[in-house]
Amino acid sequence: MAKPRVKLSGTDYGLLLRLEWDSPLPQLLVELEEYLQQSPKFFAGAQVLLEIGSRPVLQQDMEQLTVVLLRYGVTLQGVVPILDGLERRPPPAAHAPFTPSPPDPQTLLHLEQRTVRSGEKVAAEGHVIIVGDVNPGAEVMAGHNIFVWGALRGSAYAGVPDREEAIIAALHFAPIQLRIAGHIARPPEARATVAGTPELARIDQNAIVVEAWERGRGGFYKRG
Amino acid sequence: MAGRVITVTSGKGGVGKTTFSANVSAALAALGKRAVAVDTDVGLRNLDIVMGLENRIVYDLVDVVEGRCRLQKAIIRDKRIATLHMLPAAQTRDKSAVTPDAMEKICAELRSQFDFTIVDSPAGIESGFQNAIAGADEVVIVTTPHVSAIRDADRVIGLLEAAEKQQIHLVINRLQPEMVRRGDMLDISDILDILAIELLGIIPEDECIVVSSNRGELAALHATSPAGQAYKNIARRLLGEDVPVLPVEEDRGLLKRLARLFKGQ
Repeated sequence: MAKPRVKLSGTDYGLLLRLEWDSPLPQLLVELEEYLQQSPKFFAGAQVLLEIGSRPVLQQDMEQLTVVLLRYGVTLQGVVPILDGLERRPPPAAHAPFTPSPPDPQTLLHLEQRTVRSGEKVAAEGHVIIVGDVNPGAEVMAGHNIFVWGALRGSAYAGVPDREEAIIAALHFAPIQLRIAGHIARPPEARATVAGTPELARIDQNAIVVEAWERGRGGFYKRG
Repeated sequence: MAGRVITVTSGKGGVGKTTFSANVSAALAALGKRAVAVDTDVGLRNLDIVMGLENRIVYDLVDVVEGRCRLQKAIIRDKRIATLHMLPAAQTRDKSAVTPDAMEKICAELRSQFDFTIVDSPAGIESGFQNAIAGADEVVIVTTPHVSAIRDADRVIGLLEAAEKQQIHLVINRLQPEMVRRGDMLDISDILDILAIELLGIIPEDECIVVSSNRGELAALHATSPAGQAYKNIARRLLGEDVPVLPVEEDRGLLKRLARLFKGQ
């Protein structure tokens, strides 16, 4: 089948109607009608922006277009030149959205309620949860995830030895070194840690990324 | 009588354990308590020098451990303060000459005779440290506002917690308030944030300490030394008095303010 000459896509500004203006108008109108017929309920009452590109459009062509649109209850909201940059923007984070694997009830939890101090090591096969601080010089290792309900100032190694989906989360995130599966990260010297902002480290595109844990993001296990 | 055995330790060397042990023992003695300072740094003894009792040593800790003399004979009584005593370490032996068991026995005996037994420990976390904490009821961690000293203090606190020492106090030594104000030195709250133990006192940097340590005089017995004043405050806090833990140089700050006032600034 030939490339569609009529296309409607969602943008931040609403629905955008794109036509291959190089084709003769009658043909475009037929295709537009076919397109709208596919889901008349969706288009009834909708408003669209028409992308006309950089060419002059005859008023009679515009009128014909409007007639077709109105037949399906669609109003022409406006006319714009090329809207390339205005298409629905990718999510603000350049990283793929975080979609952890669902929790496995078989995975063991290891809980420590204390300050893990320099020279001390907490290691467990399952998840490790520290209620307290992990001080510089201390080390936490987990086969799965690491959660620090306190400040993480030491080293954390999650997903030992090769669980790429493991994460490391802390209320105050200032580790000396992070490791997840086979990846190592050292936070840059002047990394801005916003006091009181919980943060989370995970692997994205073969590297460890750290991002703020924002309110409203919800229980992350509900995502994905 | 059941006194308190308090071990002074730090992990890192050179932060002021010995100076602290000598001066707090003296300050406690000056407050009328029977106090004994014990040097467990066998092979590298210093406490006797700082306390100015070097030339009076006849028997030492190792002699007691090995049964060559009774504990009473090895204890030196200070001539300045009648209630101040010291038990020196041996200089010609090493740490292996003492064991934690032997230290526990000695501490038990001292506990029955003195209100305060202040045990000065060697730097490090090896056998000398293990000996020093064996008989302790309480531990004082001395640190300076340096990242490396704090890291070592944290390590030692972890070891003490593992050894189930319940009462661990923190002393921050050689604080330079002017540098803290400029943001060039770690803040007290930064230190407490990491170490998360009770603060017993803050001792300001004080040149008097260098002079008095070299001469075997005790700053805590001087009226004018800011550090000496801090040691006295710590002694009073150990006795349960409620002395506010404020940077001791407040007075000097006040003097500076007065000076400025007189200069018409």
